[in-house]
Amino acid sequence: MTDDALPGDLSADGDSAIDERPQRRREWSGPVRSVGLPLLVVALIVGAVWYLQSGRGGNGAKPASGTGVLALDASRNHTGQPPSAEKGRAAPDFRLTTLDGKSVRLSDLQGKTVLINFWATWCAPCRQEMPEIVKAYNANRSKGFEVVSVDEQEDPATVKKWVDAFEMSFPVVLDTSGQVGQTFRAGTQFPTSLWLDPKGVVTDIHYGPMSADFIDQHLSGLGQ
Amino acid sequence: MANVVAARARARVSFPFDPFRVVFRLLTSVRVALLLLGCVVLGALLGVVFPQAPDEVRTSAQAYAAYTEFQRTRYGVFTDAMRRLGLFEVFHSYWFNGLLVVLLLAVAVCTANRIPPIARNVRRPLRRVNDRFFTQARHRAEFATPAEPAAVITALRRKRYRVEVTARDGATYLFADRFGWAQFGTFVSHLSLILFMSGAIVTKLVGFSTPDLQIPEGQTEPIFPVVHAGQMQVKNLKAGDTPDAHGNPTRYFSNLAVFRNGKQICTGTSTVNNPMHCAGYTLHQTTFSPDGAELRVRDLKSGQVVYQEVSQIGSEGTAPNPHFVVKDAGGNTLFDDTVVLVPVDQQSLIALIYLPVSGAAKPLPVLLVASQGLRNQWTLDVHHPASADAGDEAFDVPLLPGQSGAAAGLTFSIPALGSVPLSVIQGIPGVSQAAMLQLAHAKDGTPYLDLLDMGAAAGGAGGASNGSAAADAAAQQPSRLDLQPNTPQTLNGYEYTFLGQRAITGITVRKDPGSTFIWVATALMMIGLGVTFYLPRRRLWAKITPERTYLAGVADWMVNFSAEMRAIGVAAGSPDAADLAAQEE
Repeated sequence: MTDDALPGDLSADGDSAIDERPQRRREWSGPVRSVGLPLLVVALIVGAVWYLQSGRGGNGAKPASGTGVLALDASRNHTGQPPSAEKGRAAPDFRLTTLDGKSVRLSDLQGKTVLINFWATWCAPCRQEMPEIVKAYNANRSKGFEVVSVDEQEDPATVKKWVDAFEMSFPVVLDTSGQVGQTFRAGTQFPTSLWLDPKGVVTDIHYGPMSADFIDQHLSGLGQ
Repeated sequence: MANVVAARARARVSFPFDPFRVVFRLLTSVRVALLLLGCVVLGALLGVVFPQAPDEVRTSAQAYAAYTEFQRTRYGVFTDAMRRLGLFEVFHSYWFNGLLVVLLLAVAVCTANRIPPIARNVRRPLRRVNDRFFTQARHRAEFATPAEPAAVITALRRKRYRVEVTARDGATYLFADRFGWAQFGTFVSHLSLILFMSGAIVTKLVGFSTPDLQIPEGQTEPIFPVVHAGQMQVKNLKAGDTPDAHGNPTRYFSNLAVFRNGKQICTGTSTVNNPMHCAGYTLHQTTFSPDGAELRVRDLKSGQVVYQEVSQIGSEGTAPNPHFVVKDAGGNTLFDDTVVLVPVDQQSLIALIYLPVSGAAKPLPVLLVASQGLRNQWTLDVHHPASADAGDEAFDVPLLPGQSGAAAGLTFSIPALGSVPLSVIQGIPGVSQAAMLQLAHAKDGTPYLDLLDMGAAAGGAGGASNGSAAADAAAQQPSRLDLQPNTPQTLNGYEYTFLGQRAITGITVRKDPGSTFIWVATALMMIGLGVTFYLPRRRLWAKITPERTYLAGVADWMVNFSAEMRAIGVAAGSPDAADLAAQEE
């Protein structure tokens, strides 16, 4: 209704034709303006909140330069297949740093029977099995047995407390980004243990704590 | 009138089927909106009345199946139908969330489509009306024109009206508008509704909450399960409570540190009412227990530590912990300390105590037996069995807390009866089956840990509760240790060390991305309602002739606008406005 129009027309009960109650105003302006635009606004609001909040949860950190999963040198891959954390395949190579800053590369340990143990200090079954691993290592290290203990995504001080408590004398490396753990499929359960023969081939994968008998069984052929 | 008839005739012309128009009509219908709201309310009521499956159960198909089977004992043949309808997980069901989404869309579409007409009303109001409006409007008034016609304009402006004046046909016409923009208040309120529902949907989609993480002092717990790109750990640096003057705890606190990818990113304190914030997450303190005990076990043969854990003591409840005092005939104190008792059956606990009686060849053994009688009241018996030694007679002295008794020249008393938490822990190396741990405190408050090898102590008695007597008791009772802090003792080829009492704090980590929107929505709702109810819009038209002044206008239904118009006449100095106002009242 324009400024020049004079309503003048009155309804039967005398009410003014000036009806400004919004709920009587429903204007169809076409599918885009009437339906599409409002839905787009809602979608933008929801999407903006989702985008802003999803980014604050923390992105995965990348491993420090020179550490993490590495390419396995062909001369160290005796299976003829790409490395993989599966039985019968060459284990993927990695380099991680110990608590005192030394570097440990998995492929350098070929020639020994290796146990890679993925764990965390907050994992009760990990703490339960650790004394058995320490005992097995102390008894068999001279026979060509090596342990690489990979702590997942924890700070050095927390790990050191437990390393000292259990007197862990084998290399304890820190996988702070979790890249190595995910590569070895230790991402769903702790502890996860992989046994490698002296050629670096995965011979067994175990999920959960290992008993003393289980460890002894894997070490029965050592030194022969 | 003819215009109205023609307009209605045009409205009856049917349009070809247009799905968008159908959707539009549904989404902009007040009735449909009320129906949706009613369904949401009904759904919420069902979610309150019927038991809802916990989050941990819903994430596992097997667990959920077991949960619904359990509900079958209550709902019988209706259980399957209820499960299919999602009545055990209403707030996570497709139909409930679908209703919320549709309601959200309805509010959004409805609000958006009211913007053009309301904006038009606000920006381009109807400035002129015909003369019939002044005689037939719902809100109207008339009075004799004041001596100064401009006084009407002044009176309106004093009441904060914006006034436009035109002259026409020998009369002065006014258009007055107050708080015209207040009509936008309804949009602010509706925007807040949209934000409320959007915030809830976003929280549901990307919100996060851990279960209760029980973290002993000095230890950490992860926030995400196992390996996660954004993995963080929460470390309990120190937890405690702030007691009042009477020793009652008033405020539990936890000093926490948060680590991500091996680095500490936050430290802070969390209490029940003031959670800690870190990296977009909120750490709420949910529980607190002071009864944690850290125990280390070393294999004596290898020298290796084979066990180091913090156990929360109290899972089996509590045991009575009497303060036991023994004095000889000369008033010398032979024993004065709290005593840890060992259960022998459901109703009784015992402790064996050796009393160093002066002049006796060897300590006098007494059994302190606690029995729970009617109304769970504890009674204690000091019992000395008969022996072959000459002059050594058996005695039995029953005592209640606060009482004393005498036998064999000794006075026994129980000044107070406290309680200690008790737990049965399995998996402790060197213990044949399970160990019973009791976390007690000496008279000076020093904590100590009583360890009983339950498998080896079949039918066994207890030991002493002070240092030297503990060594004697250990020799006599190889199944039991009384562990003072950082004082190793040996049992079955293992060395046990109580490393200390540890507080255990329960922390829940949450991420609620919609919370910001909820706060904003609340503020907008307050603003919108405030504008709508406290800044009511008024529109008024006036016709001022030399004899009479006519006012007519529109306002909200709850406003007595006619009375306000008469008041304007009075304020303007109209000769008869006051009389007319009195007549109307």
